[in-house]
Parts: sequence; structure tokens; C-alpha cells
Amino acid sequence: VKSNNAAFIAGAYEHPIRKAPDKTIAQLHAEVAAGALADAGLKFEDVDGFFTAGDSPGLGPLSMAEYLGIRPRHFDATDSGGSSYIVAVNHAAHAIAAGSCDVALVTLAGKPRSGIRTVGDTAIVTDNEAPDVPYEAPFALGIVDAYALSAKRHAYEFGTTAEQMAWVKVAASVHAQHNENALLRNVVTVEEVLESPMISDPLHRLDCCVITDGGGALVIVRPEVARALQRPLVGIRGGGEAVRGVGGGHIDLVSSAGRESGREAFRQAGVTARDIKYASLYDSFTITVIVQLEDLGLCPPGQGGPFVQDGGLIARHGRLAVNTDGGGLCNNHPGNRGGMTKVVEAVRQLRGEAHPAVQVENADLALAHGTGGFLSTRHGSATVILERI
Amino acid sequence: MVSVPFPDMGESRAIWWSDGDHLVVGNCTACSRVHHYPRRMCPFCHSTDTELLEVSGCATVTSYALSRSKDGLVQRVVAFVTLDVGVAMLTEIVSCKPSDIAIGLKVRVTPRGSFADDAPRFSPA
Repeated sequence: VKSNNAAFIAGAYEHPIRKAPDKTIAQLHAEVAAGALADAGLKFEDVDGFFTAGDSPGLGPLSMAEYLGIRPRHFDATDSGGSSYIVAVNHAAHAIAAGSCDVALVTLAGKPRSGIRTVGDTAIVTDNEAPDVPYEAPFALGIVDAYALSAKRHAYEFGTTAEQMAWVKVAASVHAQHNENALLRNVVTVEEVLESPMISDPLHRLDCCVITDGGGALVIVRPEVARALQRPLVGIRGGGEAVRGVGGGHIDLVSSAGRESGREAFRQAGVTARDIKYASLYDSFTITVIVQLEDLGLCPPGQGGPFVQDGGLIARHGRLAVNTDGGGLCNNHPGNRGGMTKVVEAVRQLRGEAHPAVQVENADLALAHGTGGFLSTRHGSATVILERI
Repeated sequence: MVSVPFPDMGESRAIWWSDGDHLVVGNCTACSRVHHYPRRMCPFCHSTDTELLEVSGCATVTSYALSRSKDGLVQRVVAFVTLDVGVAMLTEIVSCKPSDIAIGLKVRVTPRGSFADDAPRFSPA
């Protein structure tokens, strides 16, 4: 692989905790920061770039830089919901390439499972100054409803079935049985998904991701720093980000901004979807994975359903290994934000540090992709393409 | 279809109805394209020559979600409907058995005043 990576992921850490009622969110940030720095072989004193998002309490990076005892010369608090941490990887690579920092720390923490900043079955609550709120709030659109609107339309246009969506959960559960930290380690069947309670047709409870406390962190460094460390080299080869809403009333419920973010990431990386050996895809809901597979060109348009069925996403057996940690559907969705764990598992795969039962052979090129916000109404997509040097 | 000026209250609250109680969408006199939700600057050509357009209230269900309570009963039907002028809006489908709702179903806006909050719902045409 010919490479000219501007930055490398030197440290990656996922907090093993899934319920943390006695820890503060700030403390969880500190624990994951320490974990990622230890993984990289670096210290807090080495950090000169800091990337966090809306999960950080108080004034975000201002509050957290003080708590963590770091003095960044570059910081960024871009918030695109769960995809924020994939955006952060892209932004950190840019900042390093521009010479604005050498060692960038990216942190995420939250504790919705303990009831702090919970979302799930309640209506989407946002800023009353948001221009869309007066036109959505009267209808009490919930998060599951927002994704159900896309799922229903996808089924209508392409014939995607509930059974096919269920296969995304089945694959996640097959992977999660090997992850001792996963919240849900039991392998489930398509029938069990379909028999679980309907939340918002066509999405069942088991089509939905878990709600967990915890977090994760990344350490992203310039090439000279990476080469001096005793860790496998994971380069950031390309990145892209894009936003979509309802298009002034011209909606597209069956694709996402992943089309745009993916196109840019592949352009920068100089590779194609066929080259990808492993993919971390945001699995807020099973439908999210199907839409993203299509948008990223990992399968033909409209063919996400057939692609995932019959174990299509199961490592070593399927068409493409996806979310080998068990994903948000079974392993972890800390702070209701799944982008961080998407990057962490991609790094594990590229290093050869995934669980042996799910490790992809010759995993030299991986993709991590997130859809933050809501699939049908407004979301921010981010894609990064990572390579093992 | 009748166009009416952007209301004096501007965007300070939701704009759903004309003074004549017709459902309205945003309309741009510069590029002649309609949009929803209405706003002071056209999202397509960025002109501020926007106004409101009274529409018939006839629409087609583009997608819907049957939101269920913990006991499994459908408590609300949230939908995107596409108006006959070609723009979609989020709404709620009312006065319809959940089993009768389908993508492509013809629906019609319920009269202004049917609900306390002024937001328009749709029911089968």
C-alpha cells in the first residue's frame, strides 16, 4: 500500500464499564483519556490537541481541559451527535497536517443507562430556537419513529424485509458473544428479533441499539510521533463529512449523507469500496446499517437487505465483516453516541487485536462510518478510511 | 392556489395557515419554487422574496411510523406526507385505523382548529 498519511491513530480505548451510576461524566472522560494515552505509550503532558463534543459537560473543551489538566493549543468541539468522534478523527488529521498540534486527544463519555441525559422512547427534545422544532415538536416524533420512517420507505422502495433488518442484529450478537465487555452477549435468531416488542413499526426492540454508560478515547498523532511509539501503525488515509436535512421539503428517506461523506473519504484515500476488508458502520438501528452499506458503495443501491441476510455481516462467514465488537446493537453505545466505538474496533482490526474469533485476515484497510442525529429528518455523516502500514 | 404575504410576526412561531385558514407552504417569487417549512430566505436560491402559498391540503403518505406505547398499542401515527405542490411535511395521521394506513394513501388536511396546538394533521381523503 502506497501511503502518505498525515496522521496516525496511536491510541484507542473503550471503557469496559456499561453502567456507572457512581462515576461522574468528567471522571469517565478522564478514565478513557488515560486509557487511550496508556495504549499509545504517551502521557497527558504530551497532549496539545483536544477534541470532544456535546457529551462533554459544562463548556465542553473548556471545562474538560481544566478537569483533565491539559493545555491544548488546538481544540474543537464539533457536535454532530453520535458521528462526532469520526468527524473528530478527520478534524484531528487536518489539524495535525496544518501543524496546529502533534498529539490530539479525542474523548467521549456519558451515562444514559444511569439516567443522566437519557434518550430513547421519549420525543426528540432540542433547542426551541432550532428552526425545525415548531414544525416537528407538535407530532412528538421520537428517535425510533424517525428511523422507522426511513425503514418503512426503504421496505416500500426496495422490498427490504423485517427479516433482513433482523439479520443485522443477529450478526452483531454472533460477534458480541466473544466480547466479554458487551452488554448483550447472547446470540439471537431472526425469529427472536421479530418476536421482540414492536416499538415503532417496522422496528422492534431488538432492531434498536443498547443504552449504556461509559465512553472511549483516541490519541491521534503526527507521523514522526507514531513511528517513535511501540504500537502498530494505523494511518488515517481519507475522511469525509456531510450534512443532510429534509431538503426544504424535498426529502430522501432511503439514503443518507453517507453518500457524500463516503465519496469524499474514498477520493482522498484513493481506494474503492472493494478494497475495504472491515467496516464499522453506525448501528443505532438495524436499518441504519443497511442504508449506510448502500450509501458507501459496499453493496449496490437498494441491495442492503439481500447483502445483510443469511449472515452477510458475520466475520469469517459473510460478505463483509461489520461491527465485530458487537456494535451498538449488542456491545456498547456509550452516551447514546456510537461513533467512538466504531473507530476503536476498526483500530483493533487493523492492529490484529480483535478477538481471534472475529479477527479479519489481512485486515489492512478498514472504514469507520457514522450517522449522527436522525436518519429521516437531519443528520451528520462522517467516514474515515484507515490503513495498517 | 393563492399567494399571501409572509406574516408580520415573521418566523417567531410556526406558520401553518393563512388568514383564510388554508394550509400554507413557503414560496419563493424569485425562483418560483415552493418549500416547507416556510422561511424568510429561500433555501434554494437564497432570495428573501419569499411569501406563502395556500395549498389544497391534498397529500399522499410518503412514509409513516406506528409509534407504540409500552403495552404495544399504536399511540400515534407520525408520517411524512407529500402535498400536491410537491413538498413533504412531517405530520400525524388521525381518524384512520393503523391497519388502513399505507404508503401512497391519499390524505387531506384536517380543518384548522381541530387541534389545540394549531399544527395540521391529516386524515384519509
